[in-house]
Amino acid sequence: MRIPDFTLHQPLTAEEAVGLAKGSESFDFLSGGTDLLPNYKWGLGCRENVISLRHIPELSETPLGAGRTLWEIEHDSTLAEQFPALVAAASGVATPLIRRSATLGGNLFLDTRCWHFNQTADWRRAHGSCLKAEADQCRVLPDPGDICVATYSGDLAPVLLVHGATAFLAGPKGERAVPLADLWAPDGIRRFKDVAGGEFLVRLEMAPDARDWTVAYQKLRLRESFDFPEGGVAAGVRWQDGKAAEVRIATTAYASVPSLHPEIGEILVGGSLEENAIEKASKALQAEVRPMKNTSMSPAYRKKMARVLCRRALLGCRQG
Amino acid sequence: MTLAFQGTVGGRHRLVDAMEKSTGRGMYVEDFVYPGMLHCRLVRADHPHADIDGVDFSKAEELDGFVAGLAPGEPGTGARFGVLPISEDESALPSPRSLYSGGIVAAVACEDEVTAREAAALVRVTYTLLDPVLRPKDALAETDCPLHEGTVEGTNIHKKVDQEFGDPDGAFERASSVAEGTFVFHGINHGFTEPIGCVAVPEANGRMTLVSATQVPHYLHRSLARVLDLPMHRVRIIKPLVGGGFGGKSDPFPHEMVAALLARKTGRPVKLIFDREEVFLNNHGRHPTDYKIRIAADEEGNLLGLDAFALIDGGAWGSFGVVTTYYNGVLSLGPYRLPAFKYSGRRVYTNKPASGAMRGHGSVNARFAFETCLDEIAEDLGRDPIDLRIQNALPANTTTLNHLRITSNGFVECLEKVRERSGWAEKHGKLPYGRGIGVGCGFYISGSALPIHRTRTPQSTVHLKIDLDGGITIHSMAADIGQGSDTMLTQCVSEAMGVSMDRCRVKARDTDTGPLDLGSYSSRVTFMAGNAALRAGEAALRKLQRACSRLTGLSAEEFERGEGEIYFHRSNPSVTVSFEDALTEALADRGALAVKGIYRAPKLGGSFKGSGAGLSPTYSYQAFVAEVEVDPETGFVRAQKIWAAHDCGRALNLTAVEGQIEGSVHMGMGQALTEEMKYQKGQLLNGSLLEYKIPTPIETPEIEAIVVESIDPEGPLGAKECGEGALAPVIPAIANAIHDAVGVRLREVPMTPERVLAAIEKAAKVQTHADS
Ligand SMILES: Cc1cc2nc3c(=O)[nH]c(=O)nc-3n(C[C@H](O)[C@H](O)[C@H](O)COP(=O)(O)OP(=O)(O)OC[C@H]3O[C@@H](n4cnc5c(N)ncnc54)[C@H](O)[C@@H]3O)c2cc1C
Repeated sequence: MRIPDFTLHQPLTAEEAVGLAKGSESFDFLSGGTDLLPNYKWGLGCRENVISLRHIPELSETPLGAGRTLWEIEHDSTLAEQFPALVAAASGVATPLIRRSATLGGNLFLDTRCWHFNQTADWRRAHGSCLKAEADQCRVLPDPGDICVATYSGDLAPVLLVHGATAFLAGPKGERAVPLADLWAPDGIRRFKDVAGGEFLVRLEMAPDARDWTVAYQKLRLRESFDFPEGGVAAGVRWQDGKAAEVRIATTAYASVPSLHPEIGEILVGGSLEENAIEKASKALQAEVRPMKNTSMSPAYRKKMARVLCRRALLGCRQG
Repeated sequence: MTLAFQGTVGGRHRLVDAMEKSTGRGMYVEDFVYPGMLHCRLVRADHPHADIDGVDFSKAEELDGFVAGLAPGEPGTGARFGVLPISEDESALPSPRSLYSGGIVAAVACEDEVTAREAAALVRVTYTLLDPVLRPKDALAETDCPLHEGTVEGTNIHKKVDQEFGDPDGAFERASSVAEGTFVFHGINHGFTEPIGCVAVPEANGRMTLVSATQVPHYLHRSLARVLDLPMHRVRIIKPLVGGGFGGKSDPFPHEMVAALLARKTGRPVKLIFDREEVFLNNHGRHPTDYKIRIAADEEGNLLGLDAFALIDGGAWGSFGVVTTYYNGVLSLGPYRLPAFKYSGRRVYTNKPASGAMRGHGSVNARFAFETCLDEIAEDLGRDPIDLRIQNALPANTTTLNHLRITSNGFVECLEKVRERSGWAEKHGKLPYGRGIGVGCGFYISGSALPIHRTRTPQSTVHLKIDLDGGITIHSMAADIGQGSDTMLTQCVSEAMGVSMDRCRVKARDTDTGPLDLGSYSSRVTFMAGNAALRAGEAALRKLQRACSRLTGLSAEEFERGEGEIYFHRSNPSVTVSFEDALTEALADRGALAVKGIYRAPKLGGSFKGSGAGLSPTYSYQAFVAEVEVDPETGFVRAQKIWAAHDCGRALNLTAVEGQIEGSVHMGMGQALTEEMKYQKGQLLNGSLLEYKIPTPIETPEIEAIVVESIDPEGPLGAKECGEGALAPVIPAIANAIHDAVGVRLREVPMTPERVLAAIEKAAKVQTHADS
């Protein structure tokens, strides 16, 4: 396997990065490279210019800077105290070695994945390739239109969604804030709603009340290291006087975007996470998720496990 | 005071190539670079079954740095070869048909690797598509165009075995307890660390040298000479350090022929290193198999008979498949007494990457089925599974129904040790729901007694050259593939001669200098090459003893090895001669010592058809206990601890033996719980280390390796195999533990969470049904 040639740019400021992006027709941003470069090796979406964000100090200056590595997040005692579920989710990503390079920004902007896409060029040629690569035919659904159903499998997004995080992007139009919940579009190729070309993530900020939430994350995968999630559920509860004042449930690896499931949170509001309420909400989540046949485990199993993940995450949010 | 030689055998020894490897100085095939070397890339088939109508290099030829292409039809590309002379059905390039998606169709050689990759992608192949045979059961049918010549009666059956001993029908009639089931096995790959690769170097004098990551330099030597149409002495094989094999480097392969043919065509060295996906496509891993089995026992729990049928998916080529087909039956004739046996095996060709030999070759799948059934019989008769096994254990020094000669046998000791160490009595059937403990056993050959080719040449020969520098050069072609055979040879020689291991250096990487050895397969190396090394060391010792005699005037045969590299006279222990003095005398007027030792297996076995299968000078035995935790809501199985007792005859190097046991447990766990080659319409879906799920250290349980030493009468210093047998018992031990934990029997591996959960849910349904 060889990474194809590209020109590597290493801007030192955000403005410089924006300028470089503006000036090139074909480029990718690079952070840790643990997602982008394996894809390049397989000839997936290779661009002529790669703009590294690693040397821009601004990206690593805040606790949730886009450039912070997952290893740093995993070992940040302040974050561990404030947002233990985030730290737990970060420490479950990939392998220790990968987490040394992998960043928060790269994790959120992780490309979607699919059996029919994440394969070598030889494999794709033999298979006829797919919508997200060289062909105009999806291999998962016979007729999905021009929407790609590749799976989003970043681990941090659901936890950050539950904490009500906001993304701060830099780009041609200057810096702007986007609530994380409004970032993604349900399309495995387009992926983002209205992130302009040349925009990148500088940092995240948690909602002002984020620390009032008790959050837990549950991840499904065959091996406890190395593997991407085959399903992930984050649950968060804002407790008030022994009652769940607000409840949020978010999923990853069940669709081409991470998503919040507001109606399912509603089921639990006002109670104190009684067993039967948890069961009801978990079943509702199982009914709601629609995993595709494009990862290692079967969609039926992943769907079934949504209930278990949800229940266990909610149990982790109980008080006392 | 003269001490008798303490020996270099037993205890713990660092492998002799450990420093070379760990400092990065050792040479693996990737490290070989030659002036003017070209890089080869392969063009692989897009379809599972097709005629190749044309290969068009014209686009590739336009690239700067393109040097040559190789297409079907060119000289040598269609020459047949294969590891077994009875099924030489492979060829460098399709001849005439391409037999699996991802198989090699053509090749390019370019000035550098990047250009070669680009060039390969530009080669256009035109195909006429043929119907593929993908399911083994479809391969049983008659067909107009079998995948190979010489199949059974116009079908795609490659090998058919039907064997019967004793009175199996009677056994089942008399039985008080019968356990039966059909067990399903998916294909698995060896998952060795170092990808496959080779460098072919055309020599100035017209010879061809091939440096290859291989376990079987000799079989490669034969096949390459055949393909190049050269006498064997015009071909030289270099086996560098090899980063693991497990059977996945034990065939001569098409890509080795391709590299050599391109080297001949261009007159330049050609290097070819696989990507991981190509390793999976080359495969030759464990056969996907459907295994139907029945076992009968009387009311006391004595085994009465076995009846089994194996449908074995061979993929595109024969490889070791004939052996696999026999082993799936005959290796079930140990480690238990079995008075009746009936077995039918059908190995079929399908349009998928070939299956072949893999650690525990031929025994693993059948063993899982057998040991699961044994557990069911124990349950049915209300017996403890370990007691039942001890009751049925083969004794030492006996003969099995199919004439396997049993000598040393530490099986019962293995069972007793794991029972005691695991706390079996307090746990089996007594742990809370979700936790369980199970036992599984094994039995394996310690070197195939029959060489693959009919020949009177010994199976292993070791030469020693000992010169004035006092160093001992060990020449051999036993293939160290990471298992430590160079260290083992060193130990055997230094032990026999009474000298330190530091004096020895092993030269076992070059067929020009190393005497013939059949290579690393069938767990033969310690037993066979070890014996040859020991005999060579003893021959050297005799020369030194005679030198001692000349120096002292005392009788030669009474000189014994003493501690500190001296020889002392038994009747006059104060008379000692140092190794150096003895050597100087031995060399005087004669020059360097050149001695050798050989090993040839004794004549064994019966005279019925297939009687050679499973014959081995001795056998290894295993008993494992696994403790697991099962999450009944998700089906996840977590192995907590494995107690692994293995009878290796004698541990020449405890560290190496434990390493083999631990490695086998880990590899067996992979087949048991997570590993599976998945296909869609004949195309491999998960040819990467991300999607082919080898257990990580987190999944790997605590392993207590228990070494049992039965001291084999014919093994080198009592040793026998320890590299393969220890794999098979893991799978049934885990499955039986799952049953103990949650009450379900799994008959399909890997026992993924999905499969375990499905079994639990099915059992619950049956239960509710029964309750209502
Ligand atoms: C074997 C393996 C296992 C893995 N397992 C997991 C897992 O369990 N869970 C998981 O979540 N991930 C997993 N990953 C994916 C990946 O390692 C992580 O998601 C990682 O956090 C990505 O970060 P990075 O900095 O390496 O991203 P990069 O590879 O640098 O970038 C990823 C994508 O994000 C874009 N990008 C990077 N930074 C920014 C930014 N600041 N703004 C906008 N876009 C940006 C890039 O252009 C690219 O498209 C795994 C990867 C491998 C190879």
